[in-house]
Amino acid sequence: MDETVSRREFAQALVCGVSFSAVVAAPDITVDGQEPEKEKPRLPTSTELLLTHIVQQFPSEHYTEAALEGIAGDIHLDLARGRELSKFALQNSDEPAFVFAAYRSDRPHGGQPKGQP
Amino acid sequence: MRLTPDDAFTTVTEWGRRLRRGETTSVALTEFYLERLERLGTQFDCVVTVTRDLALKQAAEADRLLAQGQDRGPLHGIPYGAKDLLATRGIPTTWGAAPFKDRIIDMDATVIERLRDAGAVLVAKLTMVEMAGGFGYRQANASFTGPGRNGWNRERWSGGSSSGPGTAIAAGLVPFAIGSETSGSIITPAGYNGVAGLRPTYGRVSRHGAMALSWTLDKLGPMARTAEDCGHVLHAIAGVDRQDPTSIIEPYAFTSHDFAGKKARIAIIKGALQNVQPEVRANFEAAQTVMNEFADFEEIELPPLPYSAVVGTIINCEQAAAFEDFIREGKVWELTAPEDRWGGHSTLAIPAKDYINALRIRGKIQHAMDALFEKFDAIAAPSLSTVAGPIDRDFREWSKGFSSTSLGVASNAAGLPAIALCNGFGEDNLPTGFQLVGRALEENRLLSLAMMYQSRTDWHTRHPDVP
Repeated sequence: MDETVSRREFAQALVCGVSFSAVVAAPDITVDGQEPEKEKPRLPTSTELLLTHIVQQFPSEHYTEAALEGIAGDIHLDLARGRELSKFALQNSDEPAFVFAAYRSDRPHGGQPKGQP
Repeated sequence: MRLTPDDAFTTVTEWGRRLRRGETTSVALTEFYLERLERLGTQFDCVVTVTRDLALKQAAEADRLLAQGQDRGPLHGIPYGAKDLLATRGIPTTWGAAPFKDRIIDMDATVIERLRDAGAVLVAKLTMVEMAGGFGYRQANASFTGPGRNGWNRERWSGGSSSGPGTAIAAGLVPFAIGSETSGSIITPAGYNGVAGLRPTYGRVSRHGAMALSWTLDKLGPMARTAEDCGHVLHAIAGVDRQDPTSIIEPYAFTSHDFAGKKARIAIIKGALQNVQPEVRANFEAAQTVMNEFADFEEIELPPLPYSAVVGTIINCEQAAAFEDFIREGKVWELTAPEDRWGGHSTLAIPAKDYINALRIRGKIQHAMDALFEKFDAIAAPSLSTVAGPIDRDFREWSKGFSSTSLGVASNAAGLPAIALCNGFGEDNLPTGFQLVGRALEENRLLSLAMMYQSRTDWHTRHPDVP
């Protein structure tokens, strides 16, 4: 997560009901009240986007700062797992095991006649 | 025949002999375990519901049939407990979770039906980690019934998520129980409690009527004092079920595997003893010495595949679909462990391609693991890297610095069977254990190896002093 808006700050903002765009795009006000030089708003991180999505889709009064930080941490881990999986070399012909059955080479259908039960 | 506390640790097989010799009756046996469950269940936080009325009715029927010469087999008249994720008609099924503590699913799970048909007597619904641990618990206190307490020391964890079955067998509250495993939930409580736990091949036992955490990883299996007892229970509950499309048609019968007069070949994962407690290492090496009488060992490395990422992604994605409503309706916030209340949320936003990639890699894991069994009868490793930790501390604290091999996640990813056995005692006189993983559909090979080990040792006969 970008250092300019920490996970904690982002969670605090979500707890307060502030939209993510307000957090990441709002210009800081300087001590003397002057707006700083305009900076290009940064893109939200994947974690921020997904956290916002979850909070919007599954609203609850129970989202504390700690809970949101925990969820953000989990999202980070889930995405890391996804990157690890993406790194694994697969061929186009590598089909997913949609219909899962225990496998052994001498019983191609895992002891189960094809199409059964 | 008056039953004493020591009798509580009798095996299923031995109770069967005594019943058939007329030394006791199923009603007497059932009353004996019901009294222990009612007196000790809350002390160990291992019982959700004692099914007294049903149990006595089933026991009386078992006695009546046996008197008529109708013997339904090794489980006839034997009391047992069921992890509380198995539906039971007229009896609450709580999934260990506060939002469901009064919920009745008015049907019997297929395994409950099969055990009834085998003459077994349901005496209790046993505790479990809430929602089978899918929400990321980090502590023992993760069930509305309280922390799962170890059968050997109530201040230590029982392991999860089949906490109640592990504890109840160790403490002599039931002779056997049914647990479930998505990834580790039978092997872990079996290991911490020093009992035998058999995780069957995926599809070997119907999950109809069981809580689904991960449709492609969930398995039901027996836990008992001995491998032989696990075999008898598996014999009763295995088999195709039209209500579970994943159930395997190939029939199962518990028989001893014929090694054709040759020594078995067992692989040991390289580095399996590196990051474990010294007693875990010493007891594993001692078990290996015992097994040298009937097995040759060879060190191997597991093929380099992303086992944890595959299993973690599959569980998370399937659980997200299984429990979306549970989260949306806000019931999740009623769970006991604070981290469980938010621990499932991230799963709701995992990209679909990650799930698909996990399933694609899973096929490769299956082939790679199966290839290992062309050379070996089993792969062995310690069940767990430590003895059971304290119930009042975060797992990450007390397990810091210790780690297990990838054998558990690799074999769960591939749907392979495994058995956990006690092999001694470690720190604070708590049990240690080892597991044997086998080829798909080769439960009998594993059970035979386990029985050969148990016939040469007496760890499975030891029990805590529970009056």
